[in-house]
Amino acid sequence: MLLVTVFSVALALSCAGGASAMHFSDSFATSTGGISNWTACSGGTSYVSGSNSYFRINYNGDSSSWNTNWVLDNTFSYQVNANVDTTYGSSGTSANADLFFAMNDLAPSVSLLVDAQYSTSNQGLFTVQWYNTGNSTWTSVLNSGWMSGVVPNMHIQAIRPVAGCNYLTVSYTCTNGFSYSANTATIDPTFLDNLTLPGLREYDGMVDFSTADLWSPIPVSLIANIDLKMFIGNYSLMNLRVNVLNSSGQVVATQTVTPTSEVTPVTFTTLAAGNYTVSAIALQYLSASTPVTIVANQTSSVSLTMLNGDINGDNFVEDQDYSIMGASWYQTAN
Amino acid sequence: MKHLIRLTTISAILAVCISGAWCQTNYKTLAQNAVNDVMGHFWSTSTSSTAGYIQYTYGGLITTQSNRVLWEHATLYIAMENVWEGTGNTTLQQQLLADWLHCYPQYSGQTITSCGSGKTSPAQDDAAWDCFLMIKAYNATGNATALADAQTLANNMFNRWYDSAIGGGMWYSDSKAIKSLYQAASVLDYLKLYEITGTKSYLTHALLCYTWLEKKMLRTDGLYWCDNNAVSGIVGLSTPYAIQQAGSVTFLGGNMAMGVIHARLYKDLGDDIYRQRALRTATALRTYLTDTNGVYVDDRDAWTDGMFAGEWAREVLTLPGTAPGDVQILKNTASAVYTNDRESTGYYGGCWDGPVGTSGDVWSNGGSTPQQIMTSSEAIDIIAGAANLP
Repeated sequence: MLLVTVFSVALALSCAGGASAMHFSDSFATSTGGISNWTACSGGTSYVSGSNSYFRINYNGDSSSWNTNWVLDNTFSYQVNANVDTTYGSSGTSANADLFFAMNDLAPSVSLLVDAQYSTSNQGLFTVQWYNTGNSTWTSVLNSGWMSGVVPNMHIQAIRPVAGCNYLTVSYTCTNGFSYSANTATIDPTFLDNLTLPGLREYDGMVDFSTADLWSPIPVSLIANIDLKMFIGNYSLMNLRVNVLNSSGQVVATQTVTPTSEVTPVTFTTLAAGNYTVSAIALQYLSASTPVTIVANQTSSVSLTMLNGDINGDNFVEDQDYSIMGASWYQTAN
Repeated sequence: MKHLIRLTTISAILAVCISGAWCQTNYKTLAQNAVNDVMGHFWSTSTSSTAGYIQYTYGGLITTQSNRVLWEHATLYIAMENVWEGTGNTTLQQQLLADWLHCYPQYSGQTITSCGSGKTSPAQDDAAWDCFLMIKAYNATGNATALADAQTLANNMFNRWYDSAIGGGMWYSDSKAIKSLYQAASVLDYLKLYEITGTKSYLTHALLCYTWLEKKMLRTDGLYWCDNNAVSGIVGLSTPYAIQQAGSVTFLGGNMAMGVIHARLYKDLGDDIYRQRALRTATALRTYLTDTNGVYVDDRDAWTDGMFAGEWAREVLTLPGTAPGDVQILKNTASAVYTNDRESTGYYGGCWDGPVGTSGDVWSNGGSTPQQIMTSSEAIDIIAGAANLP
């Protein structure tokens, strides 16, 4: 035994549902155990309809289930399909279909709730709240307000995109094309770090969940290292936008970041394999672009050097930029 | 005779290097010489080169009493196993079997697999080293008892010290004051047991502890903090670069273990994020845990800092994208241990770039002496690591 006092400072790893350690997925098919990989919850059953399998939760109250073999790393993307069914006499088709996260993997309970509520009149309400153990209160960090055009067949997703970040990116989409996504308000990053396991929750109705899926950590597909040559000034005032375009020229991913040094790494996750173009845009810099090939399960990297001096933003450093600068030559701020 | 051979070897190396020509050290030879040195002090005398055992120790020194300490035994056993892996020396393999067969009955019954205060493995790290010994014994000999005992101890370790306090992870000991980077050793045990047996719970144990380390102990510079106190938080938070021999807010052995965990997950899962994490760890060690000669600093724990050098060489330094400088650092450290850290009697100290056994030997001054089986074994484990480079 040794714990030295410091200065007196004192294969493919298979998981439940047939996924890898980083990518957990469960279709609830009977061939992979149905819902046996999840804790039993009130009103929870394995339900098969034709070739489709579901985790059905049919309960007139609050019912949650979790998977203790799924582990949250410092980034994650958790999603599920959910169908709200007609239940309980005249109450119609309404229920809450939720993702949740637990902090205690030995005794899991709901610590963060991503709640998609569906009402009979094609109305949807999307909220996110977390339980602050510091003051023992639930804190709301997103409330979409009631939204129209929603149908009972939905897809819910929650993403923590960057390690240490203080928000989640959440989305609520429906099979009819309805789509809502947003970043939550600030959540204590230490709280987010402490989340350990994901779960599924239903409230007051009947919901058929299908294909629960967790990536954690989220794989990085591309790192674009952007070199802002000869930058002089305050980085915090600078916006750098990096776009990823597919072979048709459509932007498939974009990020706007604030640089902290001359070279800024910008990461993109879960890009499909294929050929892309990466372009970078920043005020008073010539834009830059380069092709890149994304290969499945690998991180590609590109480096872009951006040249300073495009004062008028026409992607050409020439006399006009010089004239603008010349007009201000030797002037100082008032 | 052994010493004469060594001087001849060093002279030959120096002659080539001084001539300014190509200079290449045979680390397999150095590793075999080094393990012979240490076995010369701790291996029992025997009429057969393939029989015998590591003599029992207490406080790192040979004891004939019953107060023998298994994890101390493990330090030399693990170094021997790494030399065997690096050299393929079959005599060493037979000695590993002989030692295990001798060792096991000395800790027979439940004792060898029990952990907690007053037990064979009183703290989490002791249990991790002892489990590592058993896994190494299985790896080298195929002995089924070694594997069964490793599994029992691994389960006992998790059940005793894992809980959700401070967000998860394993306590360092029954006092439940600190959760530490030392549990990276347990994670490697679990990953290896999962790979060997396919039992899913080992993977879950590994991931629960690993993600806690990644979320709670990773620093912005890529190193890992060593200790997280249940009351006061990260130990050394205000002095992040208090990193030196015989005292450190981080832990070289634990960082190497984290690198190996990343690399193993990359190998098993094929996802690049783990390779990037492994390279990040290697870069951090290169940047913050080397001295001016490009030699790893034996910073926190001279009794365990070299424990994962073999795995580091085999699994991290072979990753695509590994900087040649990282390979060179391990070679530099191995050469330094062999030339600057060896006493004439064949003991090795905690100051891997020297000095050894003099007033400047800060590790010896602090109580981690070359004469202890752990201090010498950890130093030669670094040489064993270099012997495992491709």
